[in-house]
Amino acid sequence: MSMTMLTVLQATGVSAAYLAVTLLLPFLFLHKKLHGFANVPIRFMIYFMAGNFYVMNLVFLLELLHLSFRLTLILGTFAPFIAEFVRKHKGSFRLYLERGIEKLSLLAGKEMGRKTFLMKLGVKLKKMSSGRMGMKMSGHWMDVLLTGAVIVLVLYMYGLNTIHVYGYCASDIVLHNHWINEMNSNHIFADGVYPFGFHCVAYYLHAVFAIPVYVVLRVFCLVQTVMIHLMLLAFLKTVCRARYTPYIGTVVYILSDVFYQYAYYRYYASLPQEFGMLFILPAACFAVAFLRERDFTAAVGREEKGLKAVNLYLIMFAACISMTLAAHFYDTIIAGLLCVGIGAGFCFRCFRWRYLKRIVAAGIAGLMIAVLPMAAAYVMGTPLQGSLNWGMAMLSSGSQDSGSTDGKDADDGGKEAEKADEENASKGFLARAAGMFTPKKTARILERIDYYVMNDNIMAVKILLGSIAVAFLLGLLWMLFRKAEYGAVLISLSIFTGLLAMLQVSEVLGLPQLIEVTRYPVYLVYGIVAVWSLCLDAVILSLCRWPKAMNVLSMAGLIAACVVVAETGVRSPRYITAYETNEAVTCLTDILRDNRDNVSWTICSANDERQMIGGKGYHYEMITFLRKMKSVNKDTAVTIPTDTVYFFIEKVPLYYRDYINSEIPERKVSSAGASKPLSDKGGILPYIEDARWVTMSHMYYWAQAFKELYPNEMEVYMETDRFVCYRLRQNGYSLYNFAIDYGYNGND
Amino acid sequence: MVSRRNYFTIMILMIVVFFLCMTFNTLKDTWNDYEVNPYSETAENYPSKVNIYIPESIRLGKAVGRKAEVKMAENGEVRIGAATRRRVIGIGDTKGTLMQTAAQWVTYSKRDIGIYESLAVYQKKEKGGEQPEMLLIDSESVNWKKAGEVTFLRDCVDQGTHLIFCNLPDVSVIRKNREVRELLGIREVREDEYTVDGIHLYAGFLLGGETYYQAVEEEDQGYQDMELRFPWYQLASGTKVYMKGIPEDESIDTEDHPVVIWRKSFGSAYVFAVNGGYMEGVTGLGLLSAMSAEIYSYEIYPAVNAQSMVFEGFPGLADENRKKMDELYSRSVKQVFQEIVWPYVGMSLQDYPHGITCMMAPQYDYRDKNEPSEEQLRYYLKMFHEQAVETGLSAANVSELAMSEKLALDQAFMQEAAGAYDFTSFYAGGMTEKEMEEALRMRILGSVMTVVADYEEEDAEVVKFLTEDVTKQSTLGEGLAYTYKGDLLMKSAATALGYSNISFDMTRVAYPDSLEDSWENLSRDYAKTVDSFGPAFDGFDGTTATECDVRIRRFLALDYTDSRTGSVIRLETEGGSGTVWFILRTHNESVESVEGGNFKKLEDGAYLIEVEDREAVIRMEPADERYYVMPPGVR
Repeated sequence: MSMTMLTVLQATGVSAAYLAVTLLLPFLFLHKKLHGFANVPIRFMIYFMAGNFYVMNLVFLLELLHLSFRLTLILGTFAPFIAEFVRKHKGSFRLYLERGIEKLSLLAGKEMGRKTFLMKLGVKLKKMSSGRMGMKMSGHWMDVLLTGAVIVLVLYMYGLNTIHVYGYCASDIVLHNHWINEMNSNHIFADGVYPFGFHCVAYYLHAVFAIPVYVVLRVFCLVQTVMIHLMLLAFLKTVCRARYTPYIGTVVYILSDVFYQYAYYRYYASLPQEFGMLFILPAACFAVAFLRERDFTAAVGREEKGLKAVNLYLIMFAACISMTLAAHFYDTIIAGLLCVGIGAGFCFRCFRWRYLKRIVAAGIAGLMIAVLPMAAAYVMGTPLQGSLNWGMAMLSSGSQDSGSTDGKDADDGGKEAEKADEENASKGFLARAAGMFTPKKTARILERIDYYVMNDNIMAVKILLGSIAVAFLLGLLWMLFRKAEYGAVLISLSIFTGLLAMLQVSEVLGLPQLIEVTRYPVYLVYGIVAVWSLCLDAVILSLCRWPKAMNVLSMAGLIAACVVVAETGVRSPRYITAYETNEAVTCLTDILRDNRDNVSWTICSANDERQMIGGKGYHYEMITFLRKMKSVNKDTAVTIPTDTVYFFIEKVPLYYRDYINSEIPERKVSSAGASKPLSDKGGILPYIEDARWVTMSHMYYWAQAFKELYPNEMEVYMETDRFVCYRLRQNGYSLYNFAIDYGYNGND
Repeated sequence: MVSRRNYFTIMILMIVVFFLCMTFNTLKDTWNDYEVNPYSETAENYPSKVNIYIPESIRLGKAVGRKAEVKMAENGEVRIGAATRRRVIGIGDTKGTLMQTAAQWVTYSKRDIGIYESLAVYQKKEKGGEQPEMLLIDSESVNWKKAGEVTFLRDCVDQGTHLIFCNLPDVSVIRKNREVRELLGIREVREDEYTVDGIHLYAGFLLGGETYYQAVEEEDQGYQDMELRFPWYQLASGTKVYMKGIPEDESIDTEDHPVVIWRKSFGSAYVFAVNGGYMEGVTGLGLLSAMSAEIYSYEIYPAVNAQSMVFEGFPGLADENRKKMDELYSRSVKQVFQEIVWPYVGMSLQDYPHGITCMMAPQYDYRDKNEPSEEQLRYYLKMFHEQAVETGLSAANVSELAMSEKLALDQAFMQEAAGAYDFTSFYAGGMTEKEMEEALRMRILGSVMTVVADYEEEDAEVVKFLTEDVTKQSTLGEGLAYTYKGDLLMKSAATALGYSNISFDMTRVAYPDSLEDSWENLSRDYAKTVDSFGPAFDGFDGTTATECDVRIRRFLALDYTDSRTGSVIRLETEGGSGTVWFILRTHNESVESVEGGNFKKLEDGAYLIEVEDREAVIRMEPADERYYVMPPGVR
């Protein structure tokens, strides 16, 4: 089977599993309760948020209780259904149980055939759903079509990479893999306290659906990215008035080549930060929805089947905030900024005590829910994970010497900013504010935004900043036109994106660095396309208020946006150079398949496969292997005590260098590489950049020498012009001694 | 009350059933042509002694070098010519058992050989000549004190000649001489002599798989006859072990267990070492074939492809030794064979492919007055004929009657009882070859094509021509006395020749020496033998003695060449007629198809190739292919 086909199937499987748990089950559980509540995008977000929140916290709970395994997870998943069923049929529960058992016994006793059973079940389901779907969709076919198109575009833009690049597309996924592997033995926070929301979901998919962790991490990014785009679309659908303007921002976001690649690169990998992005816009959406509830001020509140709308919005807002924090701190910071924007936009309502106390309480509750598992682990003695300390240090150092993070340019800018700060220190606030935007600084701000966010296009930077200002002005305008809530949303988003833009250039402005400077573009671009959609929506709304005309205009706007994108450049799907070769992942998949019933095998390779094999076999570090035979004498013995040993050797070693790992490796293993001494550094350092080339060169020449000694035993398992995997089968009672003189042992 | 209609219907049905049963039995009896030996086909079309393959140097009486054709470019692919495998040099006593074994292996594997008394003689006589495929060395023929000889051996290795040390020099030589240790891949001598508890033969070397020759249970102690005391060497890197000792001390790491058979790789060639006297006789044949298979990426060599079980002295036709029989079984010897032994034997063998030959003993004791029963003879001839069991004649004779007289009496009896029956196989037991030749001149053995004889220890010539037209096939072990050494011998014979021949001395049943020889006890050994060898070599064909004879004739006459281009092995045979068989040993490859023949998997990396035509084309494929592959264009 082609590995690409397998990846397609895996991606489909993981997506189906994830959506079944986070969309389908919540829908089945809640759809009756939420029937007719708000609009479809809101309900869609409620289902999705509820699903994620439940899964995440279920895993947290079971892991902390050391009770997490497949059965408990499945029981936990269906617990609400069981509870609901028991509650609903309290009186007749026994009767239902008896009927169910009777049916099962009929089936088991073969009195009822499987076909008959399935047919009856089918008829029942058909009855339940007959005509409903068609009725519901009749007025929305264009939305369905356009949403489908958005999904297809996202799949095309990011899916090609997923199905053609099998390795992890970010260097830290291996670490996440390790943490998730540890959860298998109920060892959450294996490396210290860290936001584990993403890990909980990945672990859940692995444990419940028996999907290997490395497969989840390879392909989960696809469904995650699709959902990030759908969240953007759903959010815009809730705040825009025209029907098709939400698609404008979404389509521009997917297709336009105007933004720098850094804004997109992280979508190619399954990473916690991007997972957390799923919950930022819904948080804003629920906050806005809550603040829009005017009746609430009169303390009446709309009631939908026993659920007060405001309470539901607040619960969902708390859940979203909780999940941003559970997934990644950066997402909470961004959600916080968005809340600041919303607070400013809805200042006319937000600062009323009734609103303020509730929304603040919800926010704090959300934070508490997320912090609780981490705090529990911390109290029980688990230290903080290293990157948290790093994050704290970033924050504190950022506030002290903002903007020393970006090389020479940043240093220069920082020094100039410092100098300017000193000059302005004695001046007043306004004077200082004015000093922040001197022509020179303005040029630098534009240059910095261009550098990080845009694709070498100063005009686009101006448009970006201009659109923020326009959104703000349009917001004010609509407030004047007594469409305060609509205007508030415009102002909220403009303030949010404005803050992000300011933080992006914080080094120039002398502001504290809240998150790593390269991460702002991901959020800024995500926010700016929403601003653009809203701006167009506001313009259309100002031109016409007749719904049908607005639809026509918004469709025209969508078409125009597509044309503009086509004219200014359409982004083409990119292929990331992964941190493992395609061959290595293919080999690993084959090895796992070949050894389904056997654990006596070892992969000797550079670092990554260690976690990817997930305890199904053993791993031997290549650098340890080579170091052990640095100086070979008659007593040197290097043995690996398993029946089969696989050696992964990159003939063209990966660079494993930059953050994105965008460089395509070209340097082959050579005697020149093998002639250099092996790295004596620890951790991953022997496997990065030049050290990797040296390590691989040594390993290659070792393999050649060993194959010369054991030509029939050392077989080629897989070989391409860039990679070779050798397989050596040995007798467990008489292991091969791998310590040989391969000609380059003692180069150092 | 039965009506008349029903009564007649029942009657008719009963008559029909009765008639059918009777008819079938009568027809079966009538058509059973038991009085004619179905194996007594004319041997004219089969190869005789004049056709057999003899190594060139033996035939011409001098060493003949063959032109090497190692690798040739053909359509951009490397072609490996097999002619390079054909020249072997033996260094040792030319009349010694080791070199005789070497010569026999060379003959069976259709190679060529030159034997020299010492390394010095070899150096002198073949100076500047073609490098041989391998040197088979009797360590006693090497002057280890002479530094030049070790250096010469190392040079041979560097030039690509594989060394096989059929035995090792004295442990003191190894201890003192670093060069010798390096040559043999020995890191250190741990103990000059060490006694192990058993021997562990690893899988993938000899056919038959992994085996522990260790008597763990007390009842197994009787099987242990392996060489358990030998020097304890620790190996260096670059070595691979095939057989190890199992120390009694379980705290010793398995990697440190004393080694018995191993190889050291030098990149250019291998050095095999055998720590003990395993290289003599049939065991040596098997080990040499296994080593040869280890040397090359593939190895194909001819095989007999025959598995026989010979029941010697079975059945007995006279009512003899009555007193003892009554004492042990309360039955006559005829009844013991008919009612106890044969049902047991028949049942136990039905799942295994072995061909059965029963070497009949009309009488064991010719001096008593108990005459053989004609009725009993006919009964067995019929039954054996129905069950495709061959009936041969046994030389068994407990009375000290001359062989010629015994055979004359047998002839008289056979003439009387089954005049048209011609024996094609004769069990000679421990008779000398001269005695066999004399016996074959007797009338009753006039139609004999093959003589089955007991295996003589250290004799590697297990199949051969006894006379111009009669072959000799050795039984490789006594089935009623299973031993570990015998097991190793069987594995070796299967590996070298695809041949197995086990005899069961049923005279012991008729004339037991003690209670130990009661069938109750003997059947335990019988079951052990059958269970050990039955499933081990189920890939080979079961043959009776005469069927085996045909295969032996073809095997001995056969010569062949093989060459490989890419994944295709081309095999050309000559010298034989009819179907011949080969054993193909591979590494990480399997046979995809065979044109001009068939194939059967014996075990991982071992195939039986049946060649029906003069030429066969064997297509190879990787033993296991990757299920997930990278599509073209994806990097």
